Amino acid sequence: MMILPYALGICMVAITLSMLLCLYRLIIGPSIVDRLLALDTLFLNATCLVVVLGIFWSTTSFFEGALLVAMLGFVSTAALARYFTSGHVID
Amino acid sequence: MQLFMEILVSFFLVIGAFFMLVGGIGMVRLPDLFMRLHAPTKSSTLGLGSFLIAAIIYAAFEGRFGFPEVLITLFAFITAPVSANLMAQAALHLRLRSMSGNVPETLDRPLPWQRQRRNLRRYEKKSNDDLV
Repeated sequence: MMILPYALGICMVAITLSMLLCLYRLIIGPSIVDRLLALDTLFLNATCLVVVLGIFWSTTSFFEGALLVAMLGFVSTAALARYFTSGHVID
Repeated sequence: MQLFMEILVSFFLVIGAFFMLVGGIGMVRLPDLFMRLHAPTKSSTLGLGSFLIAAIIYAAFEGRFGFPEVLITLFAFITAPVSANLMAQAALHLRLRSMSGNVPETLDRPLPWQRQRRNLRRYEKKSNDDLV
């Protein structure tokens, strides 16, 4: 274990900076679709952070948690986009 | 062997970190929603893809097959264009303006679940013209 902890630290710092930039867009976003896009990117960054933590602690159950986060992000994004477009989620 | 695995995993991790940072910066820097839709695709394909390649290599050197990583890759690569398309349809429905000028044909084009209603309205109009 010589260079892997440094690379994982770089990854965590980069993902945290990306999440902060998405949070900035989520707060100042001019329209509601900008905020939805920032929320989708936040879900993506959370998935990546869970994957990196799974490498960091070398456990297998974190990857299934990452799969759950990805599925939750897609369902929430699709439901919110459908609600903004047609006013109701399910016909 | 351990050093070789660490170099390989660290290489893909640093590439993924760079592209995640590019996606986050593009989220703030780009001026328009339709340009801003490009930013998370970089971090979803290249960033998440590189992280999952690193995780698969790490799992292979630990002696197990990374099946959940392959599932995350498949799921992310299938659902990213679908959610981007849904958000673009929502933006077209809310009539958000693009910085690159007016695009009337895309604004007038009906959404897939409005096409039936639009055709019905056109038919009613034509029948009224026939009556007049």
